[in-house]
Parts: sequence; C-alpha cells; structure tokens
Amino acid sequence: MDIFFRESAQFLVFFFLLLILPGLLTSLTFNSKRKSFLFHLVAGFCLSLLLNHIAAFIVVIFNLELAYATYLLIAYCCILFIKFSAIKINLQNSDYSEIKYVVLPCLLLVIVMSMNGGLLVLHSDAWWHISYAKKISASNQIFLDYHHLSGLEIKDIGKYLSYLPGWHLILALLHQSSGLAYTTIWHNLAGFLTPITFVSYFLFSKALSRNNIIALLSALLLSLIFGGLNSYFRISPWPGNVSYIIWYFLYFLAFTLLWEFPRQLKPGFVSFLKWGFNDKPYSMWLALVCCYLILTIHASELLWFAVSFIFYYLLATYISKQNESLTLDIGILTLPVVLLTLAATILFFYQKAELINPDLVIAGLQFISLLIIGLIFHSAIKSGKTQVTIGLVCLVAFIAFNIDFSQLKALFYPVKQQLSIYGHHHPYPVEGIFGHQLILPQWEHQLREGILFAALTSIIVACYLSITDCNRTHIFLLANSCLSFLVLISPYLFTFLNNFTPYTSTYRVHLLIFHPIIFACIFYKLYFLATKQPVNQRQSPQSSL
Amino acid sequence: MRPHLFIAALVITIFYALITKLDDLGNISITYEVKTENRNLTQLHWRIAGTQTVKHLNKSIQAFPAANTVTFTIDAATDKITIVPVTNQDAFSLSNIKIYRPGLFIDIPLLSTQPLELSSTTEVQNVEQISSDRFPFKSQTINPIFTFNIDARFVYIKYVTINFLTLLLLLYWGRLVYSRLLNSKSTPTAHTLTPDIFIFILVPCLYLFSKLSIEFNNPLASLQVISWFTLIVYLGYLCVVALKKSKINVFPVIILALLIFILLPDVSYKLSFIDHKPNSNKYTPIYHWRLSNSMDQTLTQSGHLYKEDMKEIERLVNPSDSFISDEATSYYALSFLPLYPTTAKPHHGGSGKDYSSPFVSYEFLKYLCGPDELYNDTDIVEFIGKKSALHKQRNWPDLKYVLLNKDTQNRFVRWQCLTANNPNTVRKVQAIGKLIYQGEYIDLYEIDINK
Repeated sequence: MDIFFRESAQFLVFFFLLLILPGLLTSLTFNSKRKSFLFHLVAGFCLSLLLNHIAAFIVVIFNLELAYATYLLIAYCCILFIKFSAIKINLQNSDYSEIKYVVLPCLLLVIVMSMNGGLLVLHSDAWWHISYAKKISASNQIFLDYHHLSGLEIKDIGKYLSYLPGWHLILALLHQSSGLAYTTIWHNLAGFLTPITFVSYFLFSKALSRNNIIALLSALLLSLIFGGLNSYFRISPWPGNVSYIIWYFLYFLAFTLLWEFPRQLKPGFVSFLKWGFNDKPYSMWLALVCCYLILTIHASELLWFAVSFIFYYLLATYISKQNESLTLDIGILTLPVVLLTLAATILFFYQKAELINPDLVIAGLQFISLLIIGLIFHSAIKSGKTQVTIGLVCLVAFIAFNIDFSQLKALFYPVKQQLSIYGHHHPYPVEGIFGHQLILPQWEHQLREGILFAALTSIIVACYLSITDCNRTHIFLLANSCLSFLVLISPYLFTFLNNFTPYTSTYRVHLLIFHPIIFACIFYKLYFLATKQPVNQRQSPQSSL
Repeated sequence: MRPHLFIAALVITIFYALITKLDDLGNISITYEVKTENRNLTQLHWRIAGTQTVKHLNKSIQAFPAANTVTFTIDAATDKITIVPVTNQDAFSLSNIKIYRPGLFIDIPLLSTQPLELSSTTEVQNVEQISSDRFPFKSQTINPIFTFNIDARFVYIKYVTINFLTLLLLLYWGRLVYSRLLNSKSTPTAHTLTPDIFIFILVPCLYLFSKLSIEFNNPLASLQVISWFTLIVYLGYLCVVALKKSKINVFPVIILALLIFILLPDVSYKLSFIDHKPNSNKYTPIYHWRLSNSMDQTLTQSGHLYKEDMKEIERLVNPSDSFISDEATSYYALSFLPLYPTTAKPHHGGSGKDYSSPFVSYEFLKYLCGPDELYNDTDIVEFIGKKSALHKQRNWPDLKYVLLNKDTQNRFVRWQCLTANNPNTVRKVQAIGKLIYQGEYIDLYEIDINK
C-alpha cells in the first residue's frame, strides 16, 4: 500500500506543476480586478488545461516527445514570474473570505479520496481510457489515426465514433513527464480532482444563490448524497467528470455575469455580449476557454449548458412579470434560445429525413412547441385571464401527452425492461402513439439510485421554493429539475435530445436536476422558518444582491 | 391512570392480535444444538394440532469440532415435535432446545422463548446413552428420535395480556413525559387528550399498514414494523406538541426532519454505516466513495500489480500484434502493452458497433475453455490456424500471443475461465503455443501451431 503513498507525493508535484501552476499564474497575472482566491484556483485549473493543450500541440508539430511539453510549461511559468509584482499585488488583493468555508471539507476529501482512489475495477471503463491515453503517448499523436482497441486505421473501419482526446492528452502528458504508471496516476487523480470539483460546485452554487451557506451546503450535499454521474467521485479521472468541473465553472461565470449586468442597459443578447467584452473581458474570455475545453474533453456538457438555459427560459416566460431578474434574463436569452431551438429542430428533421414518420415529426416539434406555448403565455399575461388559462391548459396538455406512465411506474417498481443484447448500456424501444419506434432510457443504468428519492423529492421542493419565493435561483432550479425529469419519462423529448448526442450522454440529462442546491436552499429556508428569526436577519438569495 | 389509556391499550392490543392472527401465528422457530462425530443430516418432524398431518425438514450438519446450531421454522399450530439429531449411526450430543414464538408487541426473549429439557421427552427411540462428556448419546441404528409434546393452549391469552400491559405502560410513560414537558396538571382537558385520541386514529392506519406488509409476503417483519411505527409516531407526536410550546416553529422542523430522513440512506452508505446501496443494482461498480474503502481495492482488484510483469513482456513482444486472454487481463494488457486484444466488453467490441474491433471474438473462450469432448486439441489447433489466416488475409494485427493470468486475489480475473488458474485451459494453451515468459502474475505464450 505504501506504493501509493510514496508515489502520491511524486504525483502531487507533477499535478501542481502541470495542472495548477501555469493557469494560476496566468489568472493572477492577467486579471487585475479583485477576485476570490477560489475563483483563481478553478480558473487556474481550466487555464492550465488550455496551456497543456497548447504546449502539446507545439511539441507534436515539432515532432518532439510529449514530455517536452512540460519544459515548455515550466519555461512559460518562469516568463510569468518576470511579472512577479503584478502576481504579488493580485495575490494580496484576492478575496480569501470564502476559503474558510471550503478548506476543511476539501482537506477531508483529499484524505478520503486518496484512500478510495480513482475507480480501477474492470467495470468502470478506466482501462478503456487508460489504453487510449497510452496509445496517444506511444504514438506521439494527439488525434490517433488508428483505433486504440484494434490498431486498425480509422479510414478502414468506416463507422467509428471517435472519443475526444482533450483529457487523454493530459493523462499522456502526466505519464510522460512524471514517469508514473497510468494506474498510479488514475488512482491519485481522484484525490486531487475531487476538491477542485467541490470548489467549482461551491462557486456555481454561490453564483446562483448569492449565499455562502447555501453554496457550502450544496457542495457538501453533492459529496454526501446520491445523484447522477457528477456525484460519483471515484470516477473523477473520467473525461466526463473532469468536464463537469469546467461545466460548473461555466455556470459560475454565466450567473456572475447575469447578476452583474447593469439594469439600466437594454436587456438583449447583443447588448449583453457588448457589455461583457467591454466591462468583463476576462470573464468572457474565460467562458470561451471553458467552452473550448468542454468541447475537447467531453462535449456533451456544452449541450446540457445550452439545454439548461432553454429550460430556464421556457419556464421563466410563464412567470417573468413577477420578477425583475427573470424579465432581464428573458430579454437576454430570447435570441439565443429561439435560434438554438430552431437550429435543433431543423437539424433533427434534416438528420431524420429518410426515416421520417408521424411519431418522429411529433418528437421533432417538441422544443419548438414548448417555446411557442411559452411565448403565447408570456404575451397573454399582458392581455387577460382567458389567454392565461389557455396557455396553462396547453402546458398541462403538453406535459400529460409526453409522460410515459409505464416508464414512470418502472422507476418505482422495477420491471424487466426490454433489454438489448448489450444490456443496460442501450436504450429500450417504446412505441409512439402512431406505433413507430421511439426510445427511453433504462432506470437501471445509473439513474434509479440517483433519482429515488433524493432527486425526485427535490422536484417537489423546487416547486415549493418557487411558489414561496419566485426568483432567478429558484426558477432556474425548478425549470431544470422538472423538465429534465420530463425528458426521462417522455419518449418524444428523449428521442429528440438523443439526436444530438450519443445515448450514453443523453440519459445524463438527469444531471440538470441540481438537487444538492435545491436541498441546500430548502434547508437554509427551513432553518430560518423554524427558529422564527426575523426576515431582515436572513441572508436570503435576494437580499444579498 | 385514566380509563381512556386502558381503552386505547385494549383496542390496539385486540386489533394487533386480530390483524397478526396471534392465535395462529403462522410460524414458530425450533432451535437446537447438535455435535456429531461425522458430517451428518439432522431432521425435525412435527404434527399439526388436531390432525394426523406430520411434516418434516432436513438440514446438513458439520462434524466435530463444529457446533451446529440448527433452526427450523414450522407451523405454529403444532402439538408434537420429533427431533432426529443425526440420521446415521453415530455418537452425538443434543442440547439447548428452544421454541421461539413471535407475536409480542415488543419482543422479550425471556417471555417469547420456551426451553425444552431432554428430561421432558415423551418418547426416545434408538438412542444409547454412553459415558462420554463430548458425546453423551449414540444412535443404535439409524434415526434416533426425541419426541416432545407442545402445549400452546395458554399462549394466546399470555401474549394478549403481555401485549396489553406493555402497551399500557408505554402509553402511560408517554403520557407522563408529555405532561412533564407541558408542566400541565393532570386534569384531562380537550387539549391534553389529543395524543390519546391520536392513538385511535392510528388503529386503522396500523390495519392498512399490516395489510400492505402481508401483501409483500412478510408478516413477521410487519409485526416488528408495526410495533416500532406505532411507538415512533406516538412519541413523534408528543415531541411535536412539546415543540409547539417552545420557541421553535414545528412545521419547518417536521419538513426538515422528513427531508433529512429521505437523504439519510445515501449519507449512511457513504459514511459506511450501512453496506447496501439504496435503490441500486448490486452489480454496478462502487462509483461512490465510502469511508470504509481502502487502497487495497485498487491494489488487489486492478491490474496495478502486474506492471512489472508487463514491463518484461513489453520487451519480448512484437508491437502491433494481437493476443488472446481473458476479458480482464485483455484490458489490463491493453493499457500496458503495444498489443491488441481479441476480447472486449460487449459494448466496446463487436463488428459494426461504435468503438469497434472487428477481430473481437468470443469463439476463443469456447475453444480454450470448452469441454474436451467438444473441442479437443486438434480442433483448437485447427481453429487457431484459421483465425491466424483470417487475421493475415484481412490485414488485422497478427494473432501471436496468449496471456494467462495467475492472480487469485483479483475477483475480475477469478471470474474468468481463460486464466492460468484453470488447468484445462493451460493444457489447451500449451497445445497451441510455447511459454516464453513466466511472471509472478502473468504468463506469456507465443502461438506456434506447427510445433
């Protein structure tokens, strides 16, 4: 066992040297505004990944071994140290107040996760990823021209779904620079990536709720309760889970920008971008870096990011009149949401053109019809009660039409679903109302344990929160929890989304049920209700604006 | 003590007796301890009361020094039992015979368990007493028997009385706690009567609950659940009333407690208080962290230990060839060696699928692990020859090596048949190749069908 303890120290040096230091120094050098140190830490991790990619590209172009990228990164850090005074000033100016919330849980996580380690059992697919990284390292190529399982050239295989090499490249770099075995790297990565996940989730929750206690509770609950793949800390070294760190950080950036958007400006997507690049260029560029990293590491989180804002927009249209933040968000999001929904619908029909049937037509029109209902309702609020009633009836009819009750029942009473020969890894086919084949996910595949009962309860809780305190935080949480659950029980919505991402990513729509944050919000609220403390003593999400 | 407490206790006890069918409790348990010289079989026969129906059950028992504590669950309505401690001619000892009858509201072993003395037997046959401390008896022929009569006539009355008294005591204690919490006088006002009225509401709930439990075919568990459910709800109600008097707002506390209760199994699993993952397939890997997990898992349940062997093998093999091995070792080797496997997990391999490897084939398993009668050495040599030719013809990596894993600790290897732990497979692999490296965990064979 001491192998791991001995090698952990060696691993830590290279982890810090490659995945923290270059980005942290960059963040401290180029950002002159006062930011929290936790922000610099996660931004540093993201920027380090980018710098690793750049260094790897350079050495591959010059046909050098990947290990030389380490020297490039060290040289880069040395150059940055020339601007040491700027780094020092930024370090002194950083806000350290949030550290007290996360330091103890993070230390505990390092200890616990170093003992648990990254999952290396056969079922976990770790070996598949390690093999991919091994072949990248052995062939000194970023994009393999052969398949790492068979050695056959990709052009000869024909149909081949290539896995994005963004994270495998980093694994290969870590292996080549440190000389450690992939198993050691994989085991130790969990111990150091988990605290970064914790901090990133803390920042996301903080940006959403504007409250440190809720943020801390959310991050703690993410660590302690069951959820989707993001709660599986032992698979932190998976590309998907690394991507979640960046995904949370992207949410943090998005919500920070939304809260800071000046009220006096006209709310619109173009004006938001203009304001962002003029007043908050560092955050905007960082958001673009995050998008690039997600695209090169796992990609589907970018889809979930877009989908979550579409869901938020759709629900916000029903209640926007009650809240200033929601009205503002509708103004900013209308253009991107309408464009994305149209593009997705056109893409769906384009890709399914040869197989089209009435059920697929219904599936293809799902998002656009939800958007139309929302917009009708939004304009109806101004007109009068009759239109509001019509809008509500349309929404209820839409939801009722979409629910597959046998799928809903199967969540509570497991039945032997129609398994394909590949077991739980594949969807099971269901019939649409016109008798054509649609698909739904199998609860057995990592869904049931996360949804029962924590996530399911959180949907009810989110409803309560939104009714009692209708604000941006609660509506975002409610929209994502309700609609992502609806996707899991609706063959039409699921088939529609499955068109844009492989099935193994589509069923992960349940990640949008942010139940740790929902529970944190309700615990916080209930504490104050129970102790009968006056409202003005509360540190509610709204009052801290 | 007020009369309504008596009435409440009586009503609940009667309901409890009716819904759990206390007079015909379904099953009772007979437990006894047997020691015997040789491995043997023990039997219990019982007669259903008022009939001539005799049933029996068997259990195997281990030889001395093992002390075999045997438990049989039999019909409650039994009036006679016959114990056959051993079924062969053997020396044996028989002791600690006990009858356990469920049905008490709170299970008190002293009251629910009845010991049976050997001196109270009504009939003993084929048994010889010998002067040995270890084995006091010897069976003269096969099947020595000890017969006991069981008298269950007063059990029903006894249990109802005990249940009534227990419940009365609990209610009185609860009432006392409640009064103390409120500092109220003992005058029964409408307000102070509320918890007792609440008990009456519980009765139909209990009935419904027990019906549901019986639906799930577990009446015994339902007895326990009903007992604890009643107590928890009643005491919970008292707490709520007490909280109402304090500065705490009760409703949020209840919701908070409920939410924590929902999340508790998840947290308990991660903190290793419970071992079973709630609501999940037991075959899924241990994705979640747990306090009780240790580094040993990574060390022993992965390919980490094989890295020295793999380093040596890497020196010996031609890069870009393919190899035959079990599924686990194939993945481990893939991560250490420049070779390609002929086995993969179903969702990773198989022609035409995503991430495909067209030469993945489960036929290797069939030939190298199958019975000799179906796949003899000649068949295997012929099959490997055909496969090698196909690899050459299709320009796939040459089929050149076999890796056999000897690890006995790694359960993912232990499950496989194509390993060095299977002597039959080793013999078959030796027929198609020669051993070129023998490591601590992995053996490497080079395929040579012309040898």
